[in-house]
Amino acid sequence: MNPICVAQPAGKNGGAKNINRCQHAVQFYEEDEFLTRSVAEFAEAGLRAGEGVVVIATSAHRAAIEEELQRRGAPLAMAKSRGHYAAHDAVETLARIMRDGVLDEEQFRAVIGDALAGAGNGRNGVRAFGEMVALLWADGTRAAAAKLEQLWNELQATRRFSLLCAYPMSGFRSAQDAEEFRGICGAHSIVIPAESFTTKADDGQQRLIAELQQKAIALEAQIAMTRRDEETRRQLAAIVESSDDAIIGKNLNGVITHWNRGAERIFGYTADEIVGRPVTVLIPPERQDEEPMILGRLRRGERVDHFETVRCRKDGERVDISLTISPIKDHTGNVVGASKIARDITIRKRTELQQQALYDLALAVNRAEALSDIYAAALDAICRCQRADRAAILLYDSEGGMRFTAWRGLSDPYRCAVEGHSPWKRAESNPQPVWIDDVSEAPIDQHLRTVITREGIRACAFVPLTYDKRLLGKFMIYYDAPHRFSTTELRPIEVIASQVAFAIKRQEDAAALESLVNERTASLREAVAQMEEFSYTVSHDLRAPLRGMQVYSQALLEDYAEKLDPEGQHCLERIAENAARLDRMVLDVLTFSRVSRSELRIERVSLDKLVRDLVTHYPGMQPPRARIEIEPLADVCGHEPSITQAVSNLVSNAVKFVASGVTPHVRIWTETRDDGVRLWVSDNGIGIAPAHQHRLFRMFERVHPSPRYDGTGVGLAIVRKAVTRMGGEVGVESDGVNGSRFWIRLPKAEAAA
Amino acid sequence: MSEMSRTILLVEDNEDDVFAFQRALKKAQIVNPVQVVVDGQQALDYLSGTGPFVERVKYPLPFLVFLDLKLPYRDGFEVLAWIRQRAELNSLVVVILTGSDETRDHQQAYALGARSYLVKPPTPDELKRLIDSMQSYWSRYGDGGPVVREAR
Repeated sequence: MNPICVAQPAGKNGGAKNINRCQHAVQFYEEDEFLTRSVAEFAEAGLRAGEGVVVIATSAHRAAIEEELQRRGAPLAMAKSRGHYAAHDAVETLARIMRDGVLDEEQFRAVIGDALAGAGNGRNGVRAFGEMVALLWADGTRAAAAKLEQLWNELQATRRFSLLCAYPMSGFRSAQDAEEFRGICGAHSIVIPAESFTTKADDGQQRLIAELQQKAIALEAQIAMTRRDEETRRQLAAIVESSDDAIIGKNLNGVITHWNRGAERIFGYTADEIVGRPVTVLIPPERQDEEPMILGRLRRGERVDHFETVRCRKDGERVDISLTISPIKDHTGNVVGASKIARDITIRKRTELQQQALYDLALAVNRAEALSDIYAAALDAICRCQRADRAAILLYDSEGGMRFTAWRGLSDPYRCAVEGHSPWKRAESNPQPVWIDDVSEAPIDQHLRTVITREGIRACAFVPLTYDKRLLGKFMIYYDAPHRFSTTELRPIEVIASQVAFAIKRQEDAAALESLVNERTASLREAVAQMEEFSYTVSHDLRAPLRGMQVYSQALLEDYAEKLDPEGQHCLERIAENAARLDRMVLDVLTFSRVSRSELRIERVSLDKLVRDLVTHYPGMQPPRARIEIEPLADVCGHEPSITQAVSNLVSNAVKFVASGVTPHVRIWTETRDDGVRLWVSDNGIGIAPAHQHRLFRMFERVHPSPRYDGTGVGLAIVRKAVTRMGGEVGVESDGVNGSRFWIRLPKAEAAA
Repeated sequence: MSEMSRTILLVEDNEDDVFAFQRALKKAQIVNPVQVVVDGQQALDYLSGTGPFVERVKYPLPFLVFLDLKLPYRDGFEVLAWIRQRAELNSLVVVILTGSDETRDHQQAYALGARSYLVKPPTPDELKRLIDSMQSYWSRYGDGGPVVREAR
């Protein structure tokens, strides 16, 4: 027991003014006014009893208390001037008794002790009002508040003073506050209830009343919160209800418990129709295994995110949806159901499918070898784009009737019965798609309706197939059930139609081109055959008269020379020479023609062997008539007979075109370059002036006068023709004085394996 | 052919070529009798002794045929093929006489069994060389062979 301070029951009137020394009272309040009055009473009683008064309060409270004291006529001014009434700011004082954010016992004793001593000096006693505990409580540092109460109590045990604390009831609004509220009451010797209770009561009753007050406040707060929750719930419900997505609740047995407007729109069922039914009603038969999977994951507390699947509408149509399913847990964390958000992705899915179908078609069209491949790919694309099972392609035939060219899912009798019908005239330049949403309601010929209905068709669309404003045919799309077509819906089909039309046109063009090529090839072949026949005829028949001229002039010269004078002999010689020359020209032209036409079998050719063999065969190329030096020669790629022809002409020329009296000296070598092998034939002949070199390789061009240098003017044309046909080139270097250097370039032979 | 004939048969439709041939033969100093027929059919008739050539005494079987390729009715190749099918003409030497040195003619002629190939007009040297080259072939018939040479 405390020797100085004896706990006593509170005054029977229950007010703050009758708090005795050593008593530690707590005043609860709702309105500041009530607190002000209570504290003023407490202070006034002290002042009038000749006690010192210490008020530690917020500035607002301090001002209100002093005003109330003055209104009551308490001797405040005098007490203040003599230091018997000391007012301290609660926030500042609280700061002074804290150290490092924690209440400091020593500081408390020093600061509060000084305040009490100052005010109580020479007085009958001292009393204090403090609301630092209320500040701590309001800040949520409830443990600190309790600690401060304890420090006050300990201080009271060493000093005689009466103490009043105050807490606003607003700090105890929660039902959970009840226990701590009781703790605060327990820390005080007197509990004064808030203003709602004015009846006098004993201490026990007052405590009970205060507790009841707290409970009442907490209850009020609870009710207010419940109202707010209700409002929030209503708003959330409105959000859910107005969502475009279907938001569905179901329990763990898969039974639908909630169904919003979005769900009604997407699936076609009203909430009344579907709530209470299993969610499997929405699942197509082939996807029934999805639900156990989903439920399994939910039971494990897992979410299912953006699961793309297909569900059934009330009318049986399929709808592509993206599902997000989350488990719903009760307050103990048990999964009790699921919320299911379904987004209608039919349009997106359909666009994806259409894009894929169009892409596949483009590939197929590029790869197609025949039009039938393209038709098959187009039918496939149409069916995929339209989600139709049946489709057809009809094209105009040569007689101007639209005929089934390719189809899917149509019977022979049906095709026979409807063939020839067309919604457009053939001459129509800009035909538009036409459709029948429901055959049973369409204004069509009764017989046609019967035929279509018998085939099981309820809706169909006609999409024109045009190219360059020319109607080629049409696409048909069929549905077994009524279908609401639209211009937008058929746009992909029009894209397909334009692709197919283009492919048809391309194929037609290709076919026309091919037949043209065949025709031309045939006529070329014929021309070549005729040319060969002609050459044969020339070589056998045209040369016969020349032979005759030679034979007879020869006979005359040999057998009758003595009967002719020298001029007559000269004339005969000239006849013989001219006949011989014409024969050589004919032969050269035939050679040129053969070199131009002959089939070239390109192979590795040893120039070295070829040139040496060739030179050996011509007496005119042997010493002493000529000197021919052959260096080792590289191999080339070419047609051996053509090379022989070309080289033989070059070497013959080299030997032939020399100044009279000069022994021909010919040098032959090869030079391997990046672009092939050059065979050089250089001579010590009369050369060719650069001015004439460009004419050299042309037919019947001669750059040297004929009496001295006998030639037909065809030899080098043959060389050029032969070499260029083998992919090579010919050329000459000469200054027109010091001989010539002819070259032919031919492809290198591949390195020997 | 029990007794070696000395007749040469020339199958040639061009009279200038006939002239040239006979002149060259003469210059080569070969004086065998030469019979001339002017188309392929006549050649067949002559060789088989039919039609106008039924009198073998007048138209003896030749030991050597000079055969032009371009002939009326039946060309030289047909005649050559026909000859090579007849066993009794087994030892008959056929030399092709042609206006043009065409490779395709060469090949076909040799394939059908021609002995040689001369481009018109044959020179006396060519004829002489050709006949000399076959001398040993004919020598086995004894009597110095069928070739009759002009005494120098």
